[in-house]
Amino acid sequence: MCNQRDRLIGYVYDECDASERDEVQRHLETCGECRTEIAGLRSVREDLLAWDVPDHESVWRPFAPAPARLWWRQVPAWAMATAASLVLMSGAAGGAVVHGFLPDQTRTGAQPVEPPTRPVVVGLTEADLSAAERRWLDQLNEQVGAVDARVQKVSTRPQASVVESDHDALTEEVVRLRSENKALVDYVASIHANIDQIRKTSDFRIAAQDAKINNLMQALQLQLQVK
Amino acid sequence: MTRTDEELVALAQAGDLDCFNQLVARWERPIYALAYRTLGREEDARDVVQEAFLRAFRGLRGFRGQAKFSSWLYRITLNLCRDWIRRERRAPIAQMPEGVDPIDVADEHVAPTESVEDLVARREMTEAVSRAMAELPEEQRTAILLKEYHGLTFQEIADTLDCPLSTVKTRLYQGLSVLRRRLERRQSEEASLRRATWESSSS
Repeated sequence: MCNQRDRLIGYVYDECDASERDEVQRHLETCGECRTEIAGLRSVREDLLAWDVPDHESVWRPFAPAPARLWWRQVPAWAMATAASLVLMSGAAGGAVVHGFLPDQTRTGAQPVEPPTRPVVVGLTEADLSAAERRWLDQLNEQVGAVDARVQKVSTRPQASVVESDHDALTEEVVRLRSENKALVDYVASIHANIDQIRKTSDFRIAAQDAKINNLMQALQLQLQVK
Repeated sequence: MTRTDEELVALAQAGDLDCFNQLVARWERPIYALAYRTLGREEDARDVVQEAFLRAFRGLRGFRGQAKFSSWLYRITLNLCRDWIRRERRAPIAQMPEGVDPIDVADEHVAPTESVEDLVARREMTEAVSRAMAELPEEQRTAILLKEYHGLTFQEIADTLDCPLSTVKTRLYQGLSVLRRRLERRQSEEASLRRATWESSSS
């Protein structure tokens, strides 16, 4: 057997430097065995092209996008302060406004979650899903808590700092605040929808496995009856 | 402007879910192709693809860019395929199920520009290649898949499979040589069969 064969694979895939390629080409001029080998390798590579992959639908349900930017990072500090003061003056606690739009379950990330029961195929379990859900909700609660803290802080300043000319700006900021909270609620809902989708897919696959097992059991019973 | 994988990964790590969606859209097809050709069954390939992207998402924070994102994804997918084959305790199956006549299948899928005979020949070749590939040792099959269908360099394959460059070359060479012998034997058996059929029909 020719001792140059181990260099042929780099030549066939054109992954060798120029000097090595020249060397192999010179060798091929004198070695019929390696010429046959090269022809064979190229032929089998052509055969491999025949192996198509069937078309398929995407299996991935895209994640819902996160809110563009958290509202309290867009609002200037003076506006935040005056908005909080307005909220206080109108008789509502700052936290009530922030939380008013959130459903109860989104405020308490530490609420007990249904314990994991059955495992889901390919390693993803109900416990994984519940843990992910808890993590997301904890993060959101943390963000809401940070807003509460800031609102409380600015609300303790003297209300004399609010002047008549600021009222329009204050109203505008409160409207924006409400809108941003709505976006936050929608985001939580989209996370729930994503988790539901994963659960449904898992349930479907468990049902398919159950059906397969039933079929096998029936086939086994039939075989036993025949025997 | 199209973002690179590295840019999308960095944004996804910072919490931009849409960037992760874009990575999935970009890589789902190649990952499905790798899983399909490794496992031989569409249903299994779909499950593995879904699990591969879920694992990638969960592991994204730990991905430090030591390898290309695609190499990392390929590695996750190949590990899942290996687990899948072990769990099912079976070898990868070839594409055409037993008892299915390729002519029946071809009649349903013939394109206007392709004769039924050509389509049958192509499907038979697909079946022969997939069967021959399924019989290869796993490491040779994987090296050939990554090289022929995903265009990785020797070095990228070595990084993905965590083995020396010389090992990659050896696996490719040995795998292609075995495939070649099997496909040539098949062609010679078919030629004998055709000759026998012709002789029996003309006598």
